[in-house]
Amino acid sequence: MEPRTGLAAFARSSTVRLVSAIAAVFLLAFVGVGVAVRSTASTYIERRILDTLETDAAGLEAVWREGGTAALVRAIERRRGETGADGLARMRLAVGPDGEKLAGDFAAWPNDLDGASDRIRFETTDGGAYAGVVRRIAGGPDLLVAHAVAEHAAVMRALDRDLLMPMIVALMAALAVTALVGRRLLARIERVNLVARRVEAGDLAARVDAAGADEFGRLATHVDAMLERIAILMRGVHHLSDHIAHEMRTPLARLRARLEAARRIAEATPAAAPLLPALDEAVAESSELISVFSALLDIARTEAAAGDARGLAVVDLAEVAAMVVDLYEAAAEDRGIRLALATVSAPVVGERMLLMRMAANLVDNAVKFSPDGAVVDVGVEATATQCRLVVRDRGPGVPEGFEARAFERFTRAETVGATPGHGLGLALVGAIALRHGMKIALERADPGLRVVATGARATT
Amino acid sequence: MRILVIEDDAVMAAHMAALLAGRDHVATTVADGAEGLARAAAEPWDLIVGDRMLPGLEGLDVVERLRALEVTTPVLIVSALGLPGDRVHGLERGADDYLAKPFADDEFLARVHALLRRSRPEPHPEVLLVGDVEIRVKARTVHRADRHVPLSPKEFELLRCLAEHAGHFVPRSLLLERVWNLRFDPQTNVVDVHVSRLRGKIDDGFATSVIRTSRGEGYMLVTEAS
Repeated sequence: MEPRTGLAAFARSSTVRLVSAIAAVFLLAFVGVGVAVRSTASTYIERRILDTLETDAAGLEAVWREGGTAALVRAIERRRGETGADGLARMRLAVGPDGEKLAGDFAAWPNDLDGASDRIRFETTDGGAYAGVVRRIAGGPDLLVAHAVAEHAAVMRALDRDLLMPMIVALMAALAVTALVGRRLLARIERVNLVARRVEAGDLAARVDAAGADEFGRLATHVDAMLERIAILMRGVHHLSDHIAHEMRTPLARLRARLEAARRIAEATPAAAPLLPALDEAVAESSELISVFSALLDIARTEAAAGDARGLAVVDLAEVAAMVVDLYEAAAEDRGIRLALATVSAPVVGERMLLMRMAANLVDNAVKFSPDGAVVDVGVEATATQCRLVVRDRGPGVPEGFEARAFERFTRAETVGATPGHGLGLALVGAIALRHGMKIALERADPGLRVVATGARATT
Repeated sequence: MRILVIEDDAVMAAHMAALLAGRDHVATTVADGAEGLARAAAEPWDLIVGDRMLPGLEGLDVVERLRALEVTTPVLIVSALGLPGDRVHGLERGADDYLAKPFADDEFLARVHALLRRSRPEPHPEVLLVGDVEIRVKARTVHRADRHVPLSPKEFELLRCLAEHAGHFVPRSLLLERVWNLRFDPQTNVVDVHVSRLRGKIDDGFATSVIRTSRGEGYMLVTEAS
């Protein structure tokens, strides 16, 4: 998969989503608590205000009882403009039994309060909204003490501001924590991903090397331990194949040497002439044996060398393809097959000889399985990040499901019929692809087969 | 020519010595790496043939020490480690050529021949004359019995390589290496097709062929004009 970076990758990350979700839940809870607190506070404040208004009204009644209407009027005039302990301006009104105004801040008794008592809300003709208490004194004046609702609303707005500030702070904190924790966790996971990608590309020496005793630290430690184990196994295979190489090649070399020596003696001895055909066959068989053995060893050692950067250089696939086409052109032409070469410069990091061998094996197969007179396409394509070698024939193709087994040793498709081969060609192609961190795909081309080897473009 | 063979496997050492004796070379065999280094440095040799995995001292260490001592005798490494990477490694450490075991006799002899030829004072004469075939190396032209033979660049390289080993069989692998710079065996005999085209051109109008095919392994440019 292509590594993703930037904000989009950050947003797609599960870690960031998880942290964001937790932050969102906390924030919602905070808002819920805020709303509840506000509602309770509003009711409470309103009741407290009305309580003080009632006290005020009771005070005015006491004044009237002691000093009569004149004292009440003086008291109302004196208290005009005063604010209570809650800081709200009080509005008062006293009217006589006939409804005439005795004193107060309102022009007249509000019409809609006729008959009302206790706690009320009303609007005056000039549009002001008020809340207050009504006290009707039996045999005396009616009293009204109120405050403007707008003032209560202002108190609530102040409360809202007080509640909103910590909410904003909490939101900022949640965002900051999401970003910080997300980034930090993401970086640690991305480190493991990066190593996995490098290993996939063939660098078996890559390690996460992350400290920490938490689950991410343990993940990194486990990945490293796993890679170490793979490296040990690979070294074992390498070592073993080296030993097999030496232990088996020596007797094979002797076998061949002795057969060739026997043949030379037979050639020089007229009496031994009848042995010559048998000796020729024996030499040919030993050559065959050696070539199969060498191919197997080459596959094993090439696989074992995967991830080893030694001996790698920048190689242009276009040159490789051109060289291989040059080599095979004459042989193809003898069967009327045309090799159509189409290349662009495609630099990859690799072992030139192995890449040549890979291309040669693919072209060899394509020519071998093409009907006489057909065209074999040999193409090299490149994008900014990738290079591709594409070989397409117009032969019988491969049977369904063969793609999965194609790169195993000694695998041959049923469609090849009597065409000679050991079934090691594609296995070696697979090993060379592995050594170069290349992906190889067999695609049905109808008619024929398209083999695509894709590798990373070398940065120059 | 005097050739030192450093090889711990007695059968292979004897075999190589016998092959070299067949070409009128005098071969001395040594089984130990350290002893091989001592002999290689102490006496004048025309060629040193060495194994890699040797008792005493590794074959490539022998080469490296020799080069450090400014001994420039050509060295052919014959080793069971035959991957392209092994070969590159061998050449980097001072070997002149590298042959994977097991080898075909003709291939071994062709490489010995090529190294000996290269170390002679005039390694690349301007004109190669083999029988009635005349090859002008710089002009890149070929004449047979004074008749011009037009060849493609690759066919010219093929003929030139055969001419440098005239009278001896040149294995396909050596032709692949010298002409196409390839060090592996393509499954199809692509070389045969190129040689048969070369043969078609150079033998056109002549009763006899100048290129002979060896039993399954390679080709020879015959020296006797007939």
